[in-house]
Amino acid sequence: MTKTIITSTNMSKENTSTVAVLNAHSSFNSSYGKDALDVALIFGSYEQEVSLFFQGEGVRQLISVQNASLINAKDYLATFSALEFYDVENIYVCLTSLKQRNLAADFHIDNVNVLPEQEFSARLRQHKTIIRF
Amino acid sequence: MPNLAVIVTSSPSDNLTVTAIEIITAALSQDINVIGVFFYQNGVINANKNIQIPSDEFQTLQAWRLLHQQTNIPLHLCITAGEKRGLVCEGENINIDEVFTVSGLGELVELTTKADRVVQL
Repeated sequence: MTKTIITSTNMSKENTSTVAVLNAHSSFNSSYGKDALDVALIFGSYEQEVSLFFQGEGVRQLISVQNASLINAKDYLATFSALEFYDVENIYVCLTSLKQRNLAADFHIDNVNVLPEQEFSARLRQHKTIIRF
Repeated sequence: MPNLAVIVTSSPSDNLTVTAIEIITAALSQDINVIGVFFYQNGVINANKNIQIPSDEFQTLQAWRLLHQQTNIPLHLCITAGEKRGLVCEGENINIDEVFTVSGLGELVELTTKADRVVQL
């Protein structure tokens, strides 16, 4: 067993790539949402171009007014506010998924792009790597 | 030679872990350079050397060991995800198999950046 520690300072910056983090699980039933957010934030902290996508049940992660403490869950949704700090500004949500769940485009963070299915899919495919949660 | 990175988020009891090993083996046989495997979420359970799999089922840990010994491909695991799932990397109760490397999410960034393609299972 060996250990490696990489810091954002010892990695070359010219190696930038585009990564999409695709969310398809709801907020608190599992740790998928938090695991995905951690990945998005780490790419952001290494100054890599990263976008967040929300589709299917994943759209629930963006809906405003969710009370995590009521079900003894950690309120990782509050950490979404850190995305801006790490320049993670490309956030996309699937309109069809919102409609299917009768959810309004009322989000707890700003600058969320609501895209129709086709555009959502097209935008996703513009990324070199997709990591799905 | 193209670079491939593999992310394993499936637990060893899921057959997707077998698929991951098969994809890596197939890639190597076609001269694809597998630069590393990153274990995250339930994928980290693959590193637990105490796991007992019935003898008539696929022995995932043995397969990872063999792969690492034959190819020296780094097998990185996210220690935060590991500790949440009972993995211990220090002290008397170490239960992480020696072919795995204790890492953090920064390694995922590194692998993704270097890879021409990333496959997640």
